[in-house]
Amino acid sequence: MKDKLWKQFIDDDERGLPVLQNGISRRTFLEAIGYTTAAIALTSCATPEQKVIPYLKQPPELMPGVASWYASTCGGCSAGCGLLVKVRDGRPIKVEGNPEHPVNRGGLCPVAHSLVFGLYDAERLQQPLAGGKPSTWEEADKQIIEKLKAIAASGGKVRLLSNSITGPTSRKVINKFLSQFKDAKHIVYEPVSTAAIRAAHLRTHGVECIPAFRIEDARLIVSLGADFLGTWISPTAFTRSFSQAREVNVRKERMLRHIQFESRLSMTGANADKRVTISPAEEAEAILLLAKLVSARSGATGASETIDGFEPRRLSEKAKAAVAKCADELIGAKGASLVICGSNNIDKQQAVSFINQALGNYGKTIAIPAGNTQNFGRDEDMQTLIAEMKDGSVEALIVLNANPVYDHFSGSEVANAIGRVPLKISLSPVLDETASLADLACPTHHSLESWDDAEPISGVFSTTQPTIAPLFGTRAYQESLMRWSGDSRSFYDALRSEWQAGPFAEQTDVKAFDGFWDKSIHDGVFVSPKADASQPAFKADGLNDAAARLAGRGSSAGSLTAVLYPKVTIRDGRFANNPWLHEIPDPITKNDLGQLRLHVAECGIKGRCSRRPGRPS
Amino acid sequence: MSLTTLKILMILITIIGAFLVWQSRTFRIYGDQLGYEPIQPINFSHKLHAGDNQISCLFCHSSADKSKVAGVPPASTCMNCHSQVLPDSPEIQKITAAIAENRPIEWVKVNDLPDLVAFNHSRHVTSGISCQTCHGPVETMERLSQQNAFTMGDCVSCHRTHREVTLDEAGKPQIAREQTAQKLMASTDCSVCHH
Ligand code: SF4
Repeated sequence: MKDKLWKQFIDDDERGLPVLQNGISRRTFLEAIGYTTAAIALTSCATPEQKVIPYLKQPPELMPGVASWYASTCGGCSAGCGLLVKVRDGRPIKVEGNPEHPVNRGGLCPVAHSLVFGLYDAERLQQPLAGGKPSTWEEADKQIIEKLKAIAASGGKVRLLSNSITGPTSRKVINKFLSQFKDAKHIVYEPVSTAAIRAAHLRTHGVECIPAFRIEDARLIVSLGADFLGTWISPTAFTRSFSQAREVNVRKERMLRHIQFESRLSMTGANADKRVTISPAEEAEAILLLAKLVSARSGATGASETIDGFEPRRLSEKAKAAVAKCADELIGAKGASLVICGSNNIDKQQAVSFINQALGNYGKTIAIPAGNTQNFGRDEDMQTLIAEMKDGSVEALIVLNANPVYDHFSGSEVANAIGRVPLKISLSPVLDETASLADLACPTHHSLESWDDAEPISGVFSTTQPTIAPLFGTRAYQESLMRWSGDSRSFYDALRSEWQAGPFAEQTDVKAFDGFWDKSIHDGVFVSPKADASQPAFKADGLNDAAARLAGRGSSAGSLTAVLYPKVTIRDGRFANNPWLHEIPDPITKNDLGQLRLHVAECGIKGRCSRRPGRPS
Repeated sequence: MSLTTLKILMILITIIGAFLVWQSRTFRIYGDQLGYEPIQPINFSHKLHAGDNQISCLFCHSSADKSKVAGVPPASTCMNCHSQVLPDSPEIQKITAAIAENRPIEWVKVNDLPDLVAFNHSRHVTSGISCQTCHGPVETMERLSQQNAFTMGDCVSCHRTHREVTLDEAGKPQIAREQTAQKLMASTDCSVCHH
């Protein structure tokens, strides 16, 4: 074989070329690779055999290849926006906003646009797990019912932990399930909480609610750190109202003016007519100074001595001047202005509520009775739950979607506390940090596979209908809870009967329930014609104490202050495995894939802003 | 095995591979399977239905003029006639069984295009391109086979030449290369198919 040609071809070492350890030269190696690749590439050209599988009996309204649109409700967050889901050949492929839905009026946020990725997510649980091993529903049900019966008999504590649940029917199912036990409670937890707004309105108006902010009716909006166009409470709805109010229109007297006080540059701040940077430590003083100036100019003094006699100590001169100017503008737009605050401090929210009251905004740009269930977390409940779990008194914990081990500020403490609960059941669709601690995982459907309803704003009943048959062996969490409370109906039946007793009875236009139901499902929403209750009056009780607490807050000089903020796309990190959401650059930092740590140049932290994945895996 | 033997083997494999690609109908680029004639789960004859019995193509492929796909008929469409016609034939029995067992029939796709091409049937059918232009004389085939190479070259050559359309007495568009009664410009823009 060692004739001349081959010799030249093979024996590179003789030609002084570098030879690899086992005697094959680099050139020979590359030649070999080249041949193999070519051979593989050529033989893999064959067209694979494809199947066409038609229906056995094709529904008359369906045509292969032509998309149908179904109205539904977004399951991305608790804002309850209306969706139109594009379904082709039995698969949801895209969602758009429902223009006839009163919450979002056609708009959608990036989370909803990427919703279908959650449906086809390979990380979703595909069947129930018992002790981490695949199980069947019968087996899981048997175990759970047995254990729950024992707990019901002994009177042990049962806790159900979830994110905001906007569906009235789902809440009924949960309450019915919990009513079997002597000591049972539903804990609603939101990592990025707005509970302070609720608590503050409980103090000022006697109603624990997030009021409806009517940005479209305002001429001036002042936001103190609330990123209402990005992530705050119901960003899509606010964006819609905001853009409507900002539209330059010949018939309109004036367009909305927007002043933003904030410490980090948010998307909302970037859209403001005037943006004032204040440090988080200055926020309380800015609110109090604004309250003082507004109440003095609008004759609302006397509500609180602390506010009336307030003198800022830490506020910079620039900020003082900006607050004074802002107060003038607010007085000029009395009754058509809106002051909102993104802080989760009850005292701050109470002071903001007072400012709105002094400006006569309640009943005009802020409505109390149209309270909503959006972002319905209660922080103190969560703290109580952790304490109860720690002292070992909770016998059963059922977790639905909430993932406090990952997103609570003391996640490892929550994880330890959960470890002390004897029976832990997860209803979450994925095995997240919290669900992986559970003894039994009973995965629920994705929202695009489910029947559900939502009442994000009172009187607005939004419907969720499945747009695909469940892909995996999952079961609606409502149905799981119904099984465990001895109700063998499907959740669809429960939903219908609730609607017959609830929304159907509130209207008189449609006489037959079937017609009403079909119309509501078709439209995706039913707005109850029932008139709003009267506006509760403002009470200044406790305002002075709140103001005094704010005024007396210690100085943060010499310490570092961190502002934690949700990203517009992956929010608090729960969507961190959604590829589309990762690839959208942040509107401000322009960075994709992860979350940036931003810091002030003078803060002493060395190095560039860091890039950190949104969710540790 | 010595390196030399390995090399000779590889060269041989490449040559055989190249021969296969050049010769065989299966080893072509995606879409070009000229003459591909797979065995179907049911021995359906287009010659009998579309040829001898003159059943219109759209009777079964009912979405060809409305959708991007022509649509393979659901089993219920077969049974529209076959609940009366030859219900006892062994082939029809297969359909009856499929319906009874609620098990859809898995036909083998004969004409296929890669996913990077967005072909739309209704665009072509409503412009008066006959089914046979692309699918060949289907009404003469006992078992369906691919009659045209669905490669980009074939699409584009048709788009270049079949640009003008005249209407016949019945008002239906007829393809004619010279006459210019009504212009239906078949674009050769990339984004027409690749979008
Ligand atoms: S704000 Fe976005 S995620 Fe939340 S419901 Fe509306 S569209 Fe869905």
